[in-house]
Amino acid sequence: MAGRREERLTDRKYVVFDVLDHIASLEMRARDLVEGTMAGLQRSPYLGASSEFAQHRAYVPGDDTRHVDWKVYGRTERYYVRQFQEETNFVATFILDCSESMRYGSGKASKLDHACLLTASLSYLALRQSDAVSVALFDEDLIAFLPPRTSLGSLGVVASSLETVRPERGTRLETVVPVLVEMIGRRGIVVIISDLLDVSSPGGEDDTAGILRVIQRLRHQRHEVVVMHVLDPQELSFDFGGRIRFEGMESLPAAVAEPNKIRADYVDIIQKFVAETKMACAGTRSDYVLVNTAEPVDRLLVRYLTARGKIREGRR
Amino acid sequence: MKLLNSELLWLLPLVAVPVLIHILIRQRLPRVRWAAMTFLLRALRKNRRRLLLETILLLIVRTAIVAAIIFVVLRPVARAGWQWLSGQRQRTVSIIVLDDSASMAASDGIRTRMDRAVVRIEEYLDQLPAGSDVAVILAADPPVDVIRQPTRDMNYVREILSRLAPRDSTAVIEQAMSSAADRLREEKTPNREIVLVTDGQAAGWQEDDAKKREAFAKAGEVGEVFVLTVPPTPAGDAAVTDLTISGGPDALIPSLAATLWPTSINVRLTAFNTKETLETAIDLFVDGRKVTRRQVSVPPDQDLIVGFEHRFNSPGEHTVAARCDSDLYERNNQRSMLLKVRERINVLLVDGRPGPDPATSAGGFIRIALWPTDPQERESVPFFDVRTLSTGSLESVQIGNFPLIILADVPALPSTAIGQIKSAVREGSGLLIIAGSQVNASNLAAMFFEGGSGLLPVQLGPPIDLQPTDPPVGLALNEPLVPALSAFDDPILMQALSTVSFRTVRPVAFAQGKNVQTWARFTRGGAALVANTFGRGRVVYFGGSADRQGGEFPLSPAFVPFFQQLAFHLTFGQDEPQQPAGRALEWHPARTDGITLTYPDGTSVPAEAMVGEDPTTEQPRVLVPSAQRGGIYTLTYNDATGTPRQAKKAVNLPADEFDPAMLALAQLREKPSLAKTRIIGPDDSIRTALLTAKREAELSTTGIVILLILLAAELLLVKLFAPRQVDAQAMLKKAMGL
Repeated sequence: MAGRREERLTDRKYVVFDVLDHIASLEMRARDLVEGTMAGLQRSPYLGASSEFAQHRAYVPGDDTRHVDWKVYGRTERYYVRQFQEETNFVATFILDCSESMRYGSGKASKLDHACLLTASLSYLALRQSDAVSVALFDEDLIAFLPPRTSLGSLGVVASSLETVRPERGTRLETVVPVLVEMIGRRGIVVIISDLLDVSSPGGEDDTAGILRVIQRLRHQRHEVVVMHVLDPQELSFDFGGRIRFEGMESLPAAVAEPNKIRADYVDIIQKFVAETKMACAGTRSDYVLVNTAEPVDRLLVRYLTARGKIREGRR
Repeated sequence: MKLLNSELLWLLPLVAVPVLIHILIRQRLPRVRWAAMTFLLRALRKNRRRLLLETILLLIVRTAIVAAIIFVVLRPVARAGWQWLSGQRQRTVSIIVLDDSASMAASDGIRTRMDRAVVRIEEYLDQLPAGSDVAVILAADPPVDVIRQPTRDMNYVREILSRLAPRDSTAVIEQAMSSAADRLREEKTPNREIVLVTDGQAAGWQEDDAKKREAFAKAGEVGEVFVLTVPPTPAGDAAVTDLTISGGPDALIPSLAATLWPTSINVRLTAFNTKETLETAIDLFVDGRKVTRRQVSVPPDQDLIVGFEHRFNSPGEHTVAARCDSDLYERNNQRSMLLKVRERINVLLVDGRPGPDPATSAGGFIRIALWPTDPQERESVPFFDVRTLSTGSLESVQIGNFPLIILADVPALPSTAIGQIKSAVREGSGLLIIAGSQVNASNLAAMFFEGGSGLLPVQLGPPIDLQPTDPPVGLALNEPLVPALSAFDDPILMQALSTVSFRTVRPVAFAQGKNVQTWARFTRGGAALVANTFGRGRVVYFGGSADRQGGEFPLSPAFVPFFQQLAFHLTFGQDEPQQPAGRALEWHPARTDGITLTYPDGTSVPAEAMVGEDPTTEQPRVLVPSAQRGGIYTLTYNDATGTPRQAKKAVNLPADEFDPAMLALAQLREKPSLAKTRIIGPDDSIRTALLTAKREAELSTTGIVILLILLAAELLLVKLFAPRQVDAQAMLKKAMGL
């Protein structure tokens, strides 16, 4: 299997087998109950005849007597019914920011490269779990949308579509998401992979207002939202020396600055942005992952998915 | 404010360098395409005012630092009143010009004016700020550097001053002041002073000419000029102001000393600044030995001529000195002179047309003219002992032994004879060349031209041989008359000469030698009488004829005085009985090996170092550039045959130094040349005078202090504006709640 996989995906830039091998043992499970038609790893919100016992409930007239747990009656002389969880598959939709700001990278790879690698790796994980993967590429508009696919072979399609990205325009996530919501359809996991820069309209609006609206829109559709906030280490630390002319992307003006002199304030601002974004996500029960492009993707995914799995276990 | 290094003013535009660097840096910045521009702009907006303030402050401080550096380099100087800015005492460079002329030897009975001058100088040195430098120049001609390079070693200066003694020559203040100004101009210090120390002798300061004014003005441009005067000494004084000999036995003959008759020696005594008759005595010395003494009374402020007679028993050089009694000004109490005492002048007359009849021979009348025998008027032995020879008989004599050689119509001479004549003239003999019918341009040039460096570097013009019917050629002496022909001041003699007619004339057309002079001209044809100097001797050419063949000149009353005066000029004319101190002394010995020079004080030194080349004759010459002491200078040398000989020079006090009287302080202050100087009288406080002087202070120290403050300010600002250090990782973790 692995040989066949390599045969088809060898030339794909964002399919890195070392990373995939590293994360192969991980699972990406839905935190919330999702609807699904196939037998997958995800939990179904519907408690029916299923092999997995979920919980006891006090008998009320009208319950199916087949589900009365007589052992419990024997012990307690009270009537309780058993409830079961129906396991099913989900659709992971990856919304990838392809705006110009994603071109930035202080190292060899840009944020976009990192985001694409992340998308491909997570897609692999989902497809491997027999979950469906859908990819939406956006900048000022929706550039491309790959409808959900479940076969592992779809990874090549995902990977090749990622390679076609040309980040040249601005960002309008708020415009794109309503369209996507219609296209996504049933509940699933929506992973927003973006630097979230200039998502809000300029002119003094709260930096996180825009992303908050987006998340809320998605949550309203009962999707589980994961925000993967991709930032370059220099964007986080602003560790430049000397005097530099910074030229803005996405039509923003240029400015000359001595990074040393304003570093503290810049870091304050960016950290506040990160913290507020995280808080906004927390407020909507969405996951927030700060993706520092200095950190290898596989390590990030191990860390995140392991923590996510533990949280899920804690909720059961 | 003035700048010591004003030639560096071109550095001023460098003040703009920090601004230029600031602008240029902004032009050449690295560029970064930045995604998080919104946050960057926000951070910039938050810090805009602070950053602007930082930039402006640092720019101001850095520009001020560059300006401060340039300020220090330019070495600004503050005038009086701003000296407190300098933070240091005003270091001074001073050049002391000391008048060490003879009058400074005048005494008050205890100390001389020079002693007093040294005391005043030392008072001045005591008032100089620490670190000051001093040089000393003597106001001689030329100025003498006693301490050339200004020195801070005041002990050394004092030691040098204590060893100085006045000269016997005059001071040339203006030259020394100019020299001091030129030296001082090179000193890069705000405070420069020239201090002239003088007695203000009236004779030296009476005339305030343009040269003096110019020299003091030049000095005033360079620095402050002070004039220190010394206390006056008693003015009344007796001085020997002249020493001469009277004429010989004949009025036509100039002052002449000979063994044949007693020599009259005249001493002029002058009483300066006296109110009463001065009683003194005069001693006469001959060859260093006192021969007589005479008491005299000199009327107040008048001269007295005292005559002596002395019979010299031997020919040769003799020194004569006259000295009056000692008084407070010794330098003018004695005078010396050098006399060449002749026994008889041996004259070699070379006759180009010898014959027994003087009327027909070329030199017959000349021989008679040189000493007309008149037993009633003169001694029977003639003064000029003439030996007449033909050109073929010259090997029989030593030409060098004749003080006077006369060539009468001589067309040619053996080369050995020419060589001997040349040597004799160089040693001091005289040569009279009289033309005649046999002399022409080519044979005369062949004997004496030598490419313009010979005995007579002239070219004759076309000969004139007139027939009796032709209009005659006359002779006219050039005006003014030369001293050699002073007898022709007599109008009768002049008239007689002007009526002489010549039939045979060999005029001079062209003279090449630098020392050739024309004394008379023919009425047509060219120069008639031409004189030249050669070594120590003289040459005269007469283009007319001295015989009856050439005209009627021998019959003229002017004939005898004409040739007698020429003979005396040629024989004695280069005698220099005495000369004033301060002038150069020259000797022209035949050989310069083993020569020594003896000074008036008896000191003898080898004189080879004083040997050079006479620029006019291109012959070896011994030169003392400036004789500063009065008395007899003696050069001992070997002549051409190796025989040791001596040649002497008598040097006396110059006339300017006779009268020691000083100008009053008020009179000095009226002198235009001293108008812009500070005259400090003998009773004035030097300290007060210096304190009120315009002393300036250099502000470099202040500039350096300001520079250091600015540098500290720059460091402080840089530290103050240092960015707050942030640990982005820690902040991120905190932001993430980790």
